[in-house]
Amino acid sequence: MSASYAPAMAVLWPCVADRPPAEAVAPASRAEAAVEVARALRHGLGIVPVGAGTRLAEANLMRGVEWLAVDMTRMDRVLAYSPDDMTVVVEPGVTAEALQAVLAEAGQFAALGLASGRGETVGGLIAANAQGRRQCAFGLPRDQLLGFRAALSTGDEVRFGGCTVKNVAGYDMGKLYCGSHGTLGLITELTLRVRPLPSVRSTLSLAGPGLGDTLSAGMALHLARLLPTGLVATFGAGCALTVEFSGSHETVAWQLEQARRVSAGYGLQTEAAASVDPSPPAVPDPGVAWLRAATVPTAIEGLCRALEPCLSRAVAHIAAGLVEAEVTLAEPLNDLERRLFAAGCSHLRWTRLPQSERATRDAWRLPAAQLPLMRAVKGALDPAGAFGPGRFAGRI
Amino acid sequence: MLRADQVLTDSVEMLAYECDAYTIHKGRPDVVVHPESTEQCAAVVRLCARMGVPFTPRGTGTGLSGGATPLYGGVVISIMRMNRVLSISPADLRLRAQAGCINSTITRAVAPYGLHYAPDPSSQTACTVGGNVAENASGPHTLKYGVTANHVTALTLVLPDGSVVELGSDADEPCGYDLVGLLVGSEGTLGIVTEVTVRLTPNPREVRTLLAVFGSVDDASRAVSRIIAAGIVPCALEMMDSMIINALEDAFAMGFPRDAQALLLVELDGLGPGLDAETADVSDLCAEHNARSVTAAASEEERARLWFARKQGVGVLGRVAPNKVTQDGVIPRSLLPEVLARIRGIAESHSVRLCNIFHAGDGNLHPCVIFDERDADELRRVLVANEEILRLCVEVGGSITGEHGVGVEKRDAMPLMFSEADLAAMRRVKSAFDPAGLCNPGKIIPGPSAEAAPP
Repeated sequence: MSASYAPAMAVLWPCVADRPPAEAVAPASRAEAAVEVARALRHGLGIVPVGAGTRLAEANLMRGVEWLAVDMTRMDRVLAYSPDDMTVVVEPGVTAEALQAVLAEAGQFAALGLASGRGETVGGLIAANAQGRRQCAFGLPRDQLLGFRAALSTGDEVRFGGCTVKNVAGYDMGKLYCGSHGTLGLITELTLRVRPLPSVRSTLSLAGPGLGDTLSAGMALHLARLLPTGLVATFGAGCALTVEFSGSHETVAWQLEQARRVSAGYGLQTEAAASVDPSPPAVPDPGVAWLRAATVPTAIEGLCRALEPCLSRAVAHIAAGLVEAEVTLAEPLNDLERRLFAAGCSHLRWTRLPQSERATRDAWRLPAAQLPLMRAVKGALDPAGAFGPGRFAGRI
Repeated sequence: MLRADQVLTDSVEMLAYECDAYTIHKGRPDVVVHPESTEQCAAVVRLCARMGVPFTPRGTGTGLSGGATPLYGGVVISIMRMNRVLSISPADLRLRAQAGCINSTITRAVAPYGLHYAPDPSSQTACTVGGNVAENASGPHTLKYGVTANHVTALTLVLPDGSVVELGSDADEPCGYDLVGLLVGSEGTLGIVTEVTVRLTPNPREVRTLLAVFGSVDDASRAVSRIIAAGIVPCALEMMDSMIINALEDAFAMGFPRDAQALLLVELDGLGPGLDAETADVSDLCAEHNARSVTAAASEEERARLWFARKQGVGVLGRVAPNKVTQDGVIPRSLLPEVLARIRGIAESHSVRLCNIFHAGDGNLHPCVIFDERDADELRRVLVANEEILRLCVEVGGSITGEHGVGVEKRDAMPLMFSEADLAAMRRVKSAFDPAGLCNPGKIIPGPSAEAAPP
């Protein structure tokens, strides 16, 4: 293991595998990345790309595989930025904060990693398809990605998509790589769409008397046909509802006024401090699990009720139909899963599991009928099975 | 399996199924079927798979790249009769429909809830949502609201072996590999989509529609670049040039000035507050770029009339020449003035008649070449000019297609954008779904697998 990258991996490797990596490398360019992939293939090593390491524990534990950790954080350049075209080309190791700083100078932003503040890399956010509270307004990372390059286990470097906001030439492979957790290849370059920065961003934070009233007020805001850039309810030490608006001064002021009017009558109090969305630690805590349950807005309350007996804290993205929660292990996780699906959960992921559960429980709970196709896709894009074998849904 | 009235074998009746709206390549189907359910569609596909017969899915044939053309004969599977809206959940902004449901039928069905389906191709009163999924279709309002891929959350898919799988869910977030995302834009080469769940969009509270008249295409394209660069996101930003303007005048007497060289149709929408100021900004930017006039639609009727003109703009060329090819290249939008000038140069050098009507805001060009296919020399020059324009789009960092798809039309231009390794990976994905190569063969990907007739 190379000395400079050893410290992070020394802590993080249990998030990835049942053994430490045989080696950790940190390429500084596409060419160096290709060399490392080729070398790993020659030596029969599994390959795991690592960004900031904050979401390594979201995928399954790789077992019985000697592996190479590829630290991408040295590939951190903004390669081309054309404000007039509203597109930017980056290396995957650039942090969201660093990218946003560059874009902000031209009055723009990328709808990616907006609230993270955890040093997350753009490549990592794409690989995890992770957004946050602004998902309801801007969609997921999948909706920001225009094109990319990746090193595959065939030994080839491929390039899919393009550099323009519209493009339907060939299969939209980017969709597969978003959320693939590094299991289809090593992403070496990304082209993203960017947007104009709003002149004003303003948040209304309300303290709720209980889960029911907080979510009812949230649902009323969802149905009010405003254009929030965030609408979340947080539960833990108390209940809070947060709605964010962005845009021109006039439109934000008008929407805040409307939001106050809509939420009045649900018994919510204006809070001084804005709530923070709870997010799981990079390395799972023993004794708790984190889940991410996807559904539709009208089923959010049912999901939250189903979580209540073992809930320690949660954030419900009301308009996006998503609940992220930390739960205690007071009851078997199978029972909780059953309750969630009965309440209208479409699919869920265990984003943090205690080590005892990771060996036996698939982090993805999705319809089994989709797995054969996913396995076939994995075989097509990673024919050598080198990228994080066993890490993906169904232990693909 | 099917009733007699669901099967066409008469060679005259099948003429309509030889191609879609891209008429240069044709293929004669051996039989055309009209399944009315996912089960019937799957039964037909299973039979094709057992007998090794190629099959080609087809919506209403409005595609512009030959995606529905049965290049190798076999069975054309029309989804036209699977046209029902199945369920609507307004609070969740979701609608489920059969794939043959017409695009505008969806918007009509949800209008009572103050909602609409955002992807709005010009053919929206005729095209199917299944065809939209296949092509990842878009339209003028894509500039703000996104393409089909941003509006589909679940699909029912008949795989090329005839099995049926449900992909995605009602939820926004995909789970596992995003197979819905892959299927959207796969041009019917990975299976046949029979049901679709779409995301609905609340209607804007306020809309402002502007028509700016320009004396030169250059000025109009510079105004477009300036509007985008100013950080304004109109919901649509469309350009029409003088040949289109005059064809529209001949057909519909719209009242457009015949000597104008370009019209910009700019639409802004929002909640209301601040919208007038933004509209004034757009108007000022057009004026700064020498717009002869900028007028706002004063009523919903006037707005509808302007959009009627835009949506009829391509069809009306039928009055000018018997045939047309509408190109679909995309370029980085800051290069609009330069690229439009170079495209004019290409048309002139090959003596072909070319006009432009396109989504200027996203740099999605639709150079439209009109010709008479009975004139062999003109057809040859048209094809040469077409290829030069595609090359130009790629050379400046763009794409050969923004919304019409590759199909058969641009299949052989794919190497302009993609390396052999890129194409090989696409071929492996195709084989993962369709190992026998029977599902819409000969589309998208050039090379051995596309050239060889299927077994």
